[in-house]
Amino acid sequence: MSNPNHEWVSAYLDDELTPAERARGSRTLSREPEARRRLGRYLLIGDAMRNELPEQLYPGFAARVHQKIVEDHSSPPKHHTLQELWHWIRHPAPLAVASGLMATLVAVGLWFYTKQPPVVPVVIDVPIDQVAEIAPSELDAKAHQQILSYLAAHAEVESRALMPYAQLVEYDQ
Amino acid sequence: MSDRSDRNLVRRAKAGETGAFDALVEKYQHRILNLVGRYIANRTARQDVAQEAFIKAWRNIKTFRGDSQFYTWLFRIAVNTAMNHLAAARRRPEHTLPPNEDGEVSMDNMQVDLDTPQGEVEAEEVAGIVNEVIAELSEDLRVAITLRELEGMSYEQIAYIMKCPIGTVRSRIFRAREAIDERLRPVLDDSSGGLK
Repeated sequence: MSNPNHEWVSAYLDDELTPAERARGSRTLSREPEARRRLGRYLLIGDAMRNELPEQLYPGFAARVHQKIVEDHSSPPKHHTLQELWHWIRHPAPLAVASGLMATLVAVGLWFYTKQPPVVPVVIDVPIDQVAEIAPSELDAKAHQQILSYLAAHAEVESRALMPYAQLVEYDQ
Repeated sequence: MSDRSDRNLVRRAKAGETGAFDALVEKYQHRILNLVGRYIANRTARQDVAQEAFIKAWRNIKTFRGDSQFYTWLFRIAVNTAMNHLAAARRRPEHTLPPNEDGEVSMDNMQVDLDTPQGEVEAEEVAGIVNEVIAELSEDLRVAITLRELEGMSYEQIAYIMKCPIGTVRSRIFRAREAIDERLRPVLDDSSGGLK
């Protein structure tokens, strides 16, 4: 005997439900395996009538996919258990190889780093009266103010004709 | 089943409802198996590849933006999975069978996929049952289900042709499906290994 409670599955398949009924149908399908199986068999009937079936059918295919998805979904994230830790302690060889490799990489990196050519400062002697023009104006206000104070003091000394030149040092990086 | 229904189910699947994705698997399994079957001759591998395609779709369902229909997206995944399978099969050495006690590889060691694997049902058998039951249906039910499934008519069109209310059409189509399903269920259940 057919159960009239399942009539909606048939109408859902034929897209003969109102939007609200369709949304309710999707919710029920999502929650009730029996409704899904019924829907699958109704689809099969239509495919059979139109000769659109594959050569072989695999009953339980959807259930196997579901099983796989559930396993996939519930597979726990990999944690290092105490047992795994004990394994590493008992079998130190792989750990030693990994440590050795890491140490080598660090050593090679340091060697390359120290092999970089040193930064050579460029030293220029500039007449003191031109220094104010050279002082970088893009510096932040505090640094710029310090340089200007220095130049003012220097100009005072220069006025005594003791240091007519300022020595500017530039690091080209 | 329409694209609108798919959208409902995809939205639910994206939210993590495995049941909604199961409904999509129910809907598209035969089309995907048909598609994969065009690339892969081996029946067992065919099923594995189709299964892999669905699992890939599930894992990536959140990346499906809905620009195309769900089936188009699934179709592309299935084709790529089948192509990858073929490429991997070509890379594998031809003789991977274990040698016998004399160190020889013989046909006796080979498992040839000629018989119908356990759990399979021939489509011919299913089609036979469906046609048999349709022939036994009352005329009202037979006409209603035929106009729907073979002519693709809406309930409204069928109601007009059959001169009856839409509700009656809906009920007739349902009863026809139920009558066929009743005969089909034991065949499908027996072969499922208790999974269905």
